[in-house]
Amino acid sequence: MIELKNIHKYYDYKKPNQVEALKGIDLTINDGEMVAIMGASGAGKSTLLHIIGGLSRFESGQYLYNDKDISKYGDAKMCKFRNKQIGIVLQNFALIDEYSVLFNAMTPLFFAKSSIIDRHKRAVEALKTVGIDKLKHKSASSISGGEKQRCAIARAIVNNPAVILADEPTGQLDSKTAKSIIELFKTLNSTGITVIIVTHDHNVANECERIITIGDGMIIDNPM
Amino acid sequence: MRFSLALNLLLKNMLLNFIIILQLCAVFAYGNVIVAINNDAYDCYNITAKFDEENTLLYMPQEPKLDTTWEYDRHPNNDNPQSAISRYGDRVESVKDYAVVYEDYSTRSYFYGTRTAEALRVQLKKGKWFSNQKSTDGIIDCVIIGDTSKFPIGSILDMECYKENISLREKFPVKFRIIGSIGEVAKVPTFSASSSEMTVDYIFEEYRSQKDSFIDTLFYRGARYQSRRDSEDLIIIFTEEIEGGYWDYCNDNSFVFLDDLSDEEVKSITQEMKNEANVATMASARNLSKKEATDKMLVYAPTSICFIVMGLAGILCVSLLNMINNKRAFKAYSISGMSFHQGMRIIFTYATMLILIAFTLFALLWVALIAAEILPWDSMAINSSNYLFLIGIAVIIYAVMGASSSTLLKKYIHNIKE
Repeated sequence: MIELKNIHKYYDYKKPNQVEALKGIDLTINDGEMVAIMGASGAGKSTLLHIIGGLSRFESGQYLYNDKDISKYGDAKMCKFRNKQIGIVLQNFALIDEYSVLFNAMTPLFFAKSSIIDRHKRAVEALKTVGIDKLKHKSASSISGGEKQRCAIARAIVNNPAVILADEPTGQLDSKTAKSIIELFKTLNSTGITVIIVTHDHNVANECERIITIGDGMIIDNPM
Repeated sequence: MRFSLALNLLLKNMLLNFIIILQLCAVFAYGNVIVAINNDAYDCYNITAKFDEENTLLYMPQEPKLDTTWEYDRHPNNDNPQSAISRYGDRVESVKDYAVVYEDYSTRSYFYGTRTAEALRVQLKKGKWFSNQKSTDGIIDCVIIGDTSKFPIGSILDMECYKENISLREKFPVKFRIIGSIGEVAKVPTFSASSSEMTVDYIFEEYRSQKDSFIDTLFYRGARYQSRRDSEDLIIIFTEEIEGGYWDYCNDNSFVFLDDLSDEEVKSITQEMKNEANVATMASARNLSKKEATDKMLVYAPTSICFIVMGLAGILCVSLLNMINNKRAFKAYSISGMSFHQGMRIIFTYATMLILIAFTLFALLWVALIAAEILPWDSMAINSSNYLFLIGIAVIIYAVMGASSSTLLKKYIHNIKE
């Protein structure tokens, strides 16, 4: 379970141009939920997602993950937490274009003390799960947008995380491909993985169990 | 983990990496030649570092004529230099040449007094230098210049020495134990040359083992020249007198040790000696030597500075280009759970790969240059400074790559979405 308590996040903290991106966020996301976070540009959606994924720090508040206070973790421990518990999918896929689909999918395993054989085996399994195992030897630059996003999802799930965070995962995809990607998230969610999607797209949000709306760094709507 | 990801960095931009490897290779090669020249320039200076500079005099009753190699002018007030200087007792030590012979080998011997032996800081290739303890088994310890495969450390040389009355041509057996080897190329203090304005290099002669195993003298009075002596097979150095053996001074020059006297007494003796010989302090000879070496190195300074600046700029540029080219890779790794420290470890592993490949290429190039006789290996002064230089270059590469990469890496980690 993810619990955020009174989270305040500033950019350029204590500088004249300081901006408060999150203004006391209180949020609970239960295990196995599929949640959409919506809001206008600059509302703080991605910042919130980055905090949940341990990519960003916050100035005050508390972040509990399965009742453990994550906010006190140092850099190395936070990275380990992200590696083991969180899978991240971004709008621009964040793949390494020159490398193969297989290499991209196995990236988290390089930081998880995994053997070469194990890395290969688990990456192929993840690619099978997302349906692109036949493309494993192709370079990431040579596959379509939908396939790239599937590859990014394979990378997100390869280390069996409990949570997948997706930041505008369908933003660069056509509606048909976007739908198939959302279906993939739903399938993963059905296996028990918590899925949190930041999106502008109501169609995507409507596929989720809960829609949380953020505006100006605060939660405007959070139906329980 | 680190190795695979660092290897990917290396293979991803092969042309860029190839250029930096060539550049590093050139820095290694040029730097080592310069360090070897520096070593050579400071060689004699370093060997004499343990002398009490101010209180050791160089007593030189003869001076070579400027237009010849072997002829000397004796000081006008000094018909019999050894007799003249004997009044200073055991403060005076000259280099002696005992008439020892060894089978069919051509052998040359140098006997040093205890104080001289103690003050010399000779770099041995194998074994050890002399200790204060004399051998109890009648075998004289010696250090050799020669081929240790022919004359191994610990082996006993059964030699013969001519008796004091050499005109009778009678010899008696004498045993030497090899305790150390200076190598096949060595500078040895023989004190055969002198000058009132001398550098410390004048004290030394250089011997070099030829390919056919003969040893030639190649260095004399601070300059290289073709030997006019017969080649030697073996040079032995020892510090114990051979009782009843024939010997002669290598020359009339001597070291005079005045370390237990007051400044006034030293001044007085120096003045007295100046009436019958050229006299210099070890300090003045070493200072002149140092100045000569520094002047020699200053000639190389402009090109060396250019090389260093170009090398550092190259490494910095490649490091930054490499980080920019791998921006997406590092962001992907960060999303996947890479910490800043893990990222830096990948970068340092990549730097290590560059250094090792460049070093291997450099080693191959070095061997090829020696094989082609472009580099005179035999007379190149390779020592620990060369290894320190290579380690220093590696540390600089790590520092430059570390500093330039860390800023960008932090930026990539904190701006995942860009």
